[in-house]
Amino acid sequence: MDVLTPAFVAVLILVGIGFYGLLALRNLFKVIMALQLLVKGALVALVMGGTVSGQAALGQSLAVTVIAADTMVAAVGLALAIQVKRRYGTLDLKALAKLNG
Amino acid sequence: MFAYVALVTALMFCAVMVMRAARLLRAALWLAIVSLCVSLILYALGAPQVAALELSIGAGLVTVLIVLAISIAGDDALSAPPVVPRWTALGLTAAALLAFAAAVLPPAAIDIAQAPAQDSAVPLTFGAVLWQARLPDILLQVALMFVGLLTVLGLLADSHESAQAETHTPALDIAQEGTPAPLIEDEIEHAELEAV
Repeated sequence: MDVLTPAFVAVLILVGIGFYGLLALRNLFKVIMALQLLVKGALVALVMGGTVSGQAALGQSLAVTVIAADTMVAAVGLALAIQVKRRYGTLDLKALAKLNG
Repeated sequence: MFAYVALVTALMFCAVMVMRAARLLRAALWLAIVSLCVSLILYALGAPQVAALELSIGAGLVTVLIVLAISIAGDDALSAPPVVPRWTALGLTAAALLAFAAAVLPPAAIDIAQAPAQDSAVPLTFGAVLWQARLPDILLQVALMFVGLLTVLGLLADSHESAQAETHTPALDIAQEGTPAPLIEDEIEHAELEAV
C-alpha cells in the first residue's frame, strides 16, 4: 500500500476532528487544542500535496512555515486564554459570550 | 501496510481522546502523542526535516506551553453541553470533509500530479527551496516570531503588574488605616534625609 492513502486518511481524520472541536467545544484551552489538530492536518496535506505534484521541496518548505506560524498562534492564544481566565474567572465560551462590555 | 494502519488508528484514537479527555492536562499529553504520530507520517512521506521540526516543536514546545498555561490558569473541567448541537456539528463536519475529499480525490488529483511534473526538470532540494526560493517566507517567520514573542511578553507582563497591584492594594489600605498618610510621608522624608 502506498503511503499516500494512509496520509490522506490521516488528513481527513485530523481536519474532521479539529473542525468538530472548533464547533462543539466550550473550553478555551480545548478550542486551542482543536485548532492545533486542524493545523496538523493541513501540515500533512501540504507535504502530501507536494509529494503528489512532484514539488516535494516546495510543500515541505511551506510546511515549515506553517509550523512556525502555528506555534506563534498557540503561544498567543494560550496567553490570551490565561488573561481571560484571570479577568473573567472562566474559560467557558458560552459564559464569555454573555459578558457585557 | 500493517504499520500504516496501526499508525492511522493510533492517530485517530489519540485525536478523539484530545477531545474527550476530562482533564486538560491529559488532553495536552494526548495532543503530544498526536504530534508524534503526525511526525511519523511526515517521515514516511519523505520529509524528515519537517518531521523532526514537528516532533521538536509540535510535541515539545507546544506541549510545554500548554502545560504551562494550564498550570497558571487552572485545570477545571467543563462538562457542559456543546455550544453548537452535537448533531449539527457532526453534519457540518461531514459536509466539509466530503467537499474537501471531492475536491482532492481523482481525477482532479491526477491532473494536478501531471501538470507540474513536466515543469520541474531539475528537482530542487529542500534546503535550496527553503533558503532561496522561499526566502520571503523565512523573513516573514522571523518577523512573526518577534511579534508573537512581544505579544506574549506584553500579555503576561500586564497580568503580572495587575497581580502586583491586587496584592499591594490591601497592604496599602491597612497601612493607611493604621497610621495617617502625613505620618508616612514624614517618615519617608526623614529616611531620605538620613540617607543623604
